[in-house]
Amino acid sequence: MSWQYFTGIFPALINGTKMTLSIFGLTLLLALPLGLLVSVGLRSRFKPLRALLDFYVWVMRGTPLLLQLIFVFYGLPLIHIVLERYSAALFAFVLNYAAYFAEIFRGGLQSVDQGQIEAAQMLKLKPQQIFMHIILPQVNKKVIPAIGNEVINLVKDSSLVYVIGLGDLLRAGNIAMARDVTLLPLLAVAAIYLLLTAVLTWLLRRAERHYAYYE
Amino acid sequence: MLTLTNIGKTIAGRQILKDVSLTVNDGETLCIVGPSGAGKTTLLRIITGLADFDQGQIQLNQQDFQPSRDNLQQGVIGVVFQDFRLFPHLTTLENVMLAPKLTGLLSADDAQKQATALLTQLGLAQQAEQYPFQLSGGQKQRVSIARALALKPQILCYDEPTSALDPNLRDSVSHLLLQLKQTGMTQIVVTHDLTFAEQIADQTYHLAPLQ
Repeated sequence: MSWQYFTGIFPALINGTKMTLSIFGLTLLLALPLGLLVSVGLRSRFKPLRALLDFYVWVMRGTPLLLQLIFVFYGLPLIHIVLERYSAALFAFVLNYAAYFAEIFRGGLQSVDQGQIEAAQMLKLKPQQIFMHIILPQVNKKVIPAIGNEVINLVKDSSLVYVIGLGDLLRAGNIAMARDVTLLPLLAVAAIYLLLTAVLTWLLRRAERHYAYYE
Repeated sequence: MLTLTNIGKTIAGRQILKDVSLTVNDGETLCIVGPSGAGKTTLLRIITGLADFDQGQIQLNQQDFQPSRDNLQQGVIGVVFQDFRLFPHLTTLENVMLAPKLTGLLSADDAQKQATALLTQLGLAQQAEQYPFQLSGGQKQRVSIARALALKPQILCYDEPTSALDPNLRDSVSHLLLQLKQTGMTQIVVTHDLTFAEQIADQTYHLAPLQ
């Protein structure tokens, strides 16, 4: 075991980390707003919409993400929807994570007291203003711990993209391991994952503290 | 002047209100009294527009007035809820200036000035930067009053203003309501506390539970 070995595989691991972070970041960026939108739809009075979204959430949470990735990349072309590898991965991740986020937001929305909405109505606020200024800040405070769990999961779940041939961090480690017949690359991989989740944990704590100013 | 004529309301097949007729003149304080279950809060919800009525008619200044449509748009009737319902994530000052600012009634600057003036008037200048969880019950109630006054309502309604407070605060609430009356505010107060009603009412409406 030598530092030279680690510095040798380092560029490959960094490339893999870039893919991991790219899937992670874009999924988060797209799935959070989509999840919020779905959660509002889940509480809609329009029954067909609710039924449709319930079905979507059920399918996404009820089947493995790995399976969904395979379906999107290998299955959709059968109905003439062809996505290249990266888009297919992103598509599957966003759909999957939005469903989890939607359930979390739904719980958050449910927990906001109806009286708050009535009070805002009495102050002439429009539905949109009530949502943005009264409901959402209170929801955010409640959902951050649960969202945080999913965010950490997402970092690790991103390793599933290997199944459709994308080169992420874990895959880079696997390749080095198979080539050099040593477990050392996986140690480096674990260290990088831990570093990433440590940074995220720190950021999430900060977000929690940001909302801790009131009870 | 607000006039209710033969107001009736049925919820889930049960008649809650029947033939309620009353008039509140400008600058007057009307107390709606009655035991719990008599429909006092329902009546207040109808007047403020948070609930609809099935029968009767409401007029504001001799004009047909449908609170659930008109009041939610115009905000001419304000309300102080029994549990205050302050926005927990906003400071006292922000609670009071939010509505005038968002509805475009005042610029952000003017909304803040007005809120500061209202809080000072209600003895809450020191609490401007505090959050609701840091306030006592009496202070929360006064913030809630300031928040409603910020939209310059013609009529201010209160739902059981003494019930969430210490009994010894009752006098300070009646003092406050009499002060607001001095400014010309028309007030409708729902209460089960007859002594309190006696202290503040120009007119009392008794609501009896329906059989």
